[in-house]
Amino acid sequence: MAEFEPRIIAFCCNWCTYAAADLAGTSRVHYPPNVKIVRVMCSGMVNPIYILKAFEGGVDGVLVAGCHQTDCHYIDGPVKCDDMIDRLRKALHVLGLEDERVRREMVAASEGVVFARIINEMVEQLRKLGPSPFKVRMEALA
Amino acid sequence: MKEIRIGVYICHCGLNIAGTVNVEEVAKYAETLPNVVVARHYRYMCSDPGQDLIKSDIKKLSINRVVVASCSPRMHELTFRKAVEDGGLNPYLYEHANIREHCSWVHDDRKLATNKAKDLIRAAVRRVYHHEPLVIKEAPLNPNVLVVGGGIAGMQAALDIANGQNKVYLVEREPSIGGHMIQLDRTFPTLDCSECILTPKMSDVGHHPFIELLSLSEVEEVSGSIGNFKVKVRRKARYVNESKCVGCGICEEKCPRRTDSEFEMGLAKRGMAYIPFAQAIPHIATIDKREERPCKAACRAACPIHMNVLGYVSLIKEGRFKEAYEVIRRTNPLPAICGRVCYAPCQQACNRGQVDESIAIRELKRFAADYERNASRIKARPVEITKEEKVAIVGSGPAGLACAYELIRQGYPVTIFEAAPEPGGLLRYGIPEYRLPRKVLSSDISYMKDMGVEIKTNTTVRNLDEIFRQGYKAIFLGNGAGSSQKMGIPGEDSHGVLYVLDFLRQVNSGVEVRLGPKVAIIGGGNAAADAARVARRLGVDEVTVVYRRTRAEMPAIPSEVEQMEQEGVKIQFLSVPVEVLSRGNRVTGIKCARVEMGEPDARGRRRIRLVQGSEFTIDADNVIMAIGQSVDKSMLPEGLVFTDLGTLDVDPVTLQTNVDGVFAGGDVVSGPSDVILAIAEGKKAARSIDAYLREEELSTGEGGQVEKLSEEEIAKLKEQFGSRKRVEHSKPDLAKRVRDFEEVEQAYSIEEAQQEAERCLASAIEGCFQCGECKEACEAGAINYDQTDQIVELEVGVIIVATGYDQFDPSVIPQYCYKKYDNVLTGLEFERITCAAGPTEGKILLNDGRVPQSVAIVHCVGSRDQNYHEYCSRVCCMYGLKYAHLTKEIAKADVYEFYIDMRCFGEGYEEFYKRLSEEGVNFIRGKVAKITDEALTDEEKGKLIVISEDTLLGKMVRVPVDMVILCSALEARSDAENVARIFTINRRADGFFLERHVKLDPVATPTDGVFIAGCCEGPRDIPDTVAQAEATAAKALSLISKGTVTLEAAVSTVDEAICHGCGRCEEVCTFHAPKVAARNGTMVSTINETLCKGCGGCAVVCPTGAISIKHFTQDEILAQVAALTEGS
Amino acid sequence: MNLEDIIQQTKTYYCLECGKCTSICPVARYDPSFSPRQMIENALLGFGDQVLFDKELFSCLTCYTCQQKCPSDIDFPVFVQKARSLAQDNGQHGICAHSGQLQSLARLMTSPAIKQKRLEWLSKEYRVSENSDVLLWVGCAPYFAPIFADIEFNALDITRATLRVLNLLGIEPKLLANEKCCGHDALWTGDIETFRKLAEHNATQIKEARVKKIVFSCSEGYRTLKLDYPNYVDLGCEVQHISEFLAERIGKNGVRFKEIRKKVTYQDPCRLGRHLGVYEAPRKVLKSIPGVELVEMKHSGLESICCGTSAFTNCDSYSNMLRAERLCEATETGAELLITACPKCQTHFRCAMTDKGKEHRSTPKIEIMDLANLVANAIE
Repeated sequence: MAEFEPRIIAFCCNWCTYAAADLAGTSRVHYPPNVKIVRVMCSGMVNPIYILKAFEGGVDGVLVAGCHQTDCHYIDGPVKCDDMIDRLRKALHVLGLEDERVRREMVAASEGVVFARIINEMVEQLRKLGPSPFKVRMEALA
Repeated sequence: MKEIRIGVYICHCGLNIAGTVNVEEVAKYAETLPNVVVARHYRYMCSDPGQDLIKSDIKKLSINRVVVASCSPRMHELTFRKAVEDGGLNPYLYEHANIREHCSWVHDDRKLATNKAKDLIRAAVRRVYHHEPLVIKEAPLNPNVLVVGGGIAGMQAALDIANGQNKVYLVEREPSIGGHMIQLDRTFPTLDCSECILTPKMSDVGHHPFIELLSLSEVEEVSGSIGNFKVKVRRKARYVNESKCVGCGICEEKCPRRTDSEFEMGLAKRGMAYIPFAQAIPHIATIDKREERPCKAACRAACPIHMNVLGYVSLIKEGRFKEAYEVIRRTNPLPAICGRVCYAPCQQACNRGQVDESIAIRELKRFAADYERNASRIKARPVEITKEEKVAIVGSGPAGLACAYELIRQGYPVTIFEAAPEPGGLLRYGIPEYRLPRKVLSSDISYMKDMGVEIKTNTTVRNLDEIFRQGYKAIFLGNGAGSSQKMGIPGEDSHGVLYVLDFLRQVNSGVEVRLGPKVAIIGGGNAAADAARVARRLGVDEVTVVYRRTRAEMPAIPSEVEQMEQEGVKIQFLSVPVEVLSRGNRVTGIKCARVEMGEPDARGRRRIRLVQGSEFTIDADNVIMAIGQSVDKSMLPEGLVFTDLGTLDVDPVTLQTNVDGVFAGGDVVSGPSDVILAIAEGKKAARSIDAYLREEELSTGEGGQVEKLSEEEIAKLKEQFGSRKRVEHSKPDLAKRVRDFEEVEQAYSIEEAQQEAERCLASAIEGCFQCGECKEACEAGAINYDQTDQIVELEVGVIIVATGYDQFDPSVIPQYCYKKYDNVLTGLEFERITCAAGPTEGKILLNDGRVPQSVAIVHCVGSRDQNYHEYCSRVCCMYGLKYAHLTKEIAKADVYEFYIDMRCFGEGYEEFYKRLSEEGVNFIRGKVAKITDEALTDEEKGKLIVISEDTLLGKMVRVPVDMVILCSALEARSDAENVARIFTINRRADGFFLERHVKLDPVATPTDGVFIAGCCEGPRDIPDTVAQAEATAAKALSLISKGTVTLEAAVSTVDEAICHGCGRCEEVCTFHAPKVAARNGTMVSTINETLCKGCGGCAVVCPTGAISIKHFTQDEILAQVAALTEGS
Repeated sequence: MNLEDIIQQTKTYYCLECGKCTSICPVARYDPSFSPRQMIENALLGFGDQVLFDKELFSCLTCYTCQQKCPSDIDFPVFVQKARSLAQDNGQHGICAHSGQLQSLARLMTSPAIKQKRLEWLSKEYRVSENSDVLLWVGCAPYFAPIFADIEFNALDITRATLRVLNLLGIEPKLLANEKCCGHDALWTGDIETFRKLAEHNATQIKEARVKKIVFSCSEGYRTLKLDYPNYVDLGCEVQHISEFLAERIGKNGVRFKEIRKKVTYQDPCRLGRHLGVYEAPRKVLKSIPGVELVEMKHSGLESICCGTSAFTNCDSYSNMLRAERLCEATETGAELLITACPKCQTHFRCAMTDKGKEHRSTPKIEIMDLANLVANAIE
């Protein structure tokens, strides 16, 4: 069978990381197509259920990326996001999910290259890690 | 539910997308997706024909949801929303798929890119299915603008906006606007003086009909959002009525206290009442009152002439004796005299007396007067006579002198008529030399002569009309009570009986008086005490004072009695003379009888009763009667009415006698009393004479209640100041004392005086202590010590923050020795020095007054330095060059400029640099390592040596100079964090405010409607600052001209049926949008849509799922996620 | 399966439409639009959609209050359970509290490939044994712990306490490293699929464990394994709630309690009480602790009121009012301590008591603790 290709969903905040991804595009910085971006207004908007459902759907990794603490368009979105991720990670840890599969990053609008680098890293890591343990049960989302 | 019909439009973007993504394939795929009615691809969807595709499909195919797959939504989402809206749909029934930046441009594998494009479009289609139409709300915008900070930035913004006839509130925390720029001397590179270019702007601001200036005010709280901010401003108490103050500056001139002037960078002093600088706007005074005075200043109230005791005591404490003397002089015509013989009611009232021991106020007054006299600095300037009406004063005692003093100071020509050969009245003929040396008396009197008071001695006034005939318009009678009362007992007329005033008059006027070895003195007043002590000094061994009551009742000043006894005078209390014994008409003694005190009478004075058979005898060669003085009618002009006590009958308020234009005061009215009371009456009479001559109603003079400290206050003060006794000063030893007429009371030494002055509670505090000097001096009556801070609420639509910067304090860099060596200055200090209006009037001087031969200018002090500030302060290079130029021009000194890089980026900057190089400035490339005064060579001796490497020559250099100027960095305001919090602005790591976008949105902040300008956003020069200010003005004006604000449509909403009102949303929201409150019985959260920014934080923490974000609902995002998890 | 089948299975056609159910239903007391009678009637009249697409379907607490009074002995909760599974097939799943995280976790747990780290909390001080014939059911505690951190509730405290009690009684139980959620919530929200997978997994795990008895500190797990598993799998061992387990031993083989001077009241969990009829055991345990004074709430035992939510659905303002009411009853007893025997009860009560924001709802506050924790403090 063909080599395993991880699937990644990235939740990117409109002001910084989504813009960084745009910048990666405009400056033609390539990265593998394994990632698909969901635009949210703020990383603080990302609800744990989005991540859980993504895994239920069989993705191999989730990236939650937004502004650096100081740049947040909404002052302290990143703080809220960190808090959410922290609690969810603990639960997913009990479930036996590898920490690398949930990645939290801060990427400023100016960091197109950084964004590309992160995606490359993540794809590499997940290739090594193999498919998500949840993938084994494939069922349509409710 | 209406059928969902979705149209999908895929853009080629030329080859940008189509080059990598197989758009035809994607379009075909899209058509297979549920609810998709049509899927098209087109070369440029953003072009008009592209947009028309959408519009016509909406009409023809009645699609009700639209997905466009093209470039980034950040580029064209709005374009297509507009198109959808034009097509007749709600703009929010649209979803955008980014298949260029996020797909075709970052992937090259055509197959994979195409698949990804499909995924993204599938996700968009699933998501748009759930989109709801949203209403875009507009809220009216309040056209008033708040500008915070009155520096150049704030002023410029305020003017631009106000010139458009919009109301601007300009809030400045300092007493005046002007900011740092007004402190600058000249501005680079044009070298035009900043005062000249700034003051016109300042006065425009001050007088602009559309600008309301709130100086000495700070913003405390901002609520609401763009278009409708509510702002709480604290207007700090100025203690000056802004509408009354005319800015004459008399208050500062009169203020007895001084402190460092902030405006002059501490290089000059200012009063506690002050106007920060000459061109201040508003040009009104401010009182720097920092804390409440611990005491009640009872001294001032207790003094019959209400002398400013606090004032002169604190001046003495500060060693400013001349000013102290002037403060005393202002109210008191006879400082040196009162400094000795006053019975000092102030001291008895002094609040410190309640804590431990009262301040030795009289001694301090005397110290000031003596110190100034000894320093022969007391010079009275002749007063300019401005009035015609001549005033005649009869008698040159304290009352007369005081009256004359007050009148001549008001410009009246004054003549004193004195019957005696010398002026001074009882001061001269009554009080003995050892209490009041003649030189002291004469100096106080001659002061008055120097002022222009004419004193005619040996002139007795008998006829008032005659005086009037001489052209005098008013007369003051201060004749005093000059005749001793007789006792009326047998043998009183025998030889050897003397009357105290005659006795003292003779002694004091140098007539030799022979006394026997034993002298008895009858009476218990000051006169008796004087007589007794004089007698001792005339060699009498046995002096006995006979007094009918007890020590407690003795009218004499207690200290006098005490000293009298020290000098060996005996006192017979409770004894009355019943007969003067004599042999051959020569006194041999007196027969006395014992008395006992009876019940107090109506006047509280206890009657005395003779004890039968208690007679006893005191041997005496002389008996001096000192039982009181009375007015000598024979010495007074005719036609006057007297009271039955034998004193002149006058109107208690005006002191006018029965004769029109004739006034009287002092002992002649009140009977024998004290010097200070006589002075008070003299001054009072002067006031009513002035009123009489100007034909005005007499205003009753200032009063003042003597207040005591409460027990709590006393306890608190004891706690605070501890106990500290009065400073005692030495007296000459007794043996010597009684031998001559040397003054007994010694003056304080400078140290003693200052130590004693330090005990004054009032002058223990910083800032204004309400001595009242300014209040009295202020003709406009603008001073009001009782003002308190006021909170005013403003309603504005837009806010501009221009709070400026702080100058970096170089003293934290030890090797530069700022504050350690005198001639190491900061930039702003040097600005003041070169300023013509500055402390040195523009001369560049070392602090010993020499002109520097050589000056070093050190760049990048605190800038471009990891240890302090990483950033470049952008202006230092240029002002450094400016200093170099000025130093050359003004001081003709050698200049050494130590720099790392020369950053001359602005208009005319590089040219200026070039010009300076030609002016012969020594440029040394190298950051200064150290500044020291350790000389290695002779030429380094007494110099500051600047040590650095000349990196261009690659060798160390030691440059000896006289002055070093540190180009200190600009840094964020120390309270920037708080300001950022109040206005919800972000800050950079370096502490300055963060703009929304460094390039494309340089004056906006994350908070809509709040803009930033000038150095609060980072170091910048004046041109940039002004440009930014105008940018903020443009932002404000565009908002105002639109008149409304568009509210974020994608905000959160609460399903009230589900909400618990648990308040987690309220807790988490940074913008205070959710508010939990009772709604028909239960607590529910409601969202204030004008505050909500749609960040979604609340929805995440909501435990029940009651909150969702419009356009970003869980259903929408989960649908998108689900779609993305499917397929490739 | 369709609604008709459900009607048959639950014999709802016996319904007399007397309305007793609605009249005593705690939810209906606050939520005017909620009516068991109406729901059954709609079902009987064949208005299937009105039953399945009514969000109220997920408001039922399945607390069994109604069933106690039903003259026709209709098992409404089971009716609801089955109706919900139908609804699920139609994409209805009520309004999930905590944005459905807990349901999602359960679904994720079904995947066979996962290697859980559910026993990391187990520290040296506790004694467990591989070849014990008593199994301690850990349940979802390890997952609840992080998720409910914000209401200062760590479900693992209850597990630890229970384990400690067993140890003190000289029992070193077995713990399953790959035990999974019992599926209670999945079952009661109608996600039969997930429930079945979990049940089968757990059954095999338990069989392999070869134990005689499973002890529960979680009433829901207890109910599920006791009443629901048998319909799908065979466990081949006895199950018991810790309260029962203790009640048996009190006075016997040297269970000693030290004195605890506290006035306490007791919340009967629906599952333990009405579902399984265990009322006495926990009370016996409480009374046997010297110093503990047990005071009953206005409604207790059969009558006791639910904590307001069962399977994390429709945790709406009505269920919250219910909680508030129950907490009022608890405080009105004058007790210092509210004892529960179900982690869910504690979760929901604590949640209600941790209000944030400026203007607070005046939810009565009372210290709350699990039976196991109280016992653990008392023993020795």
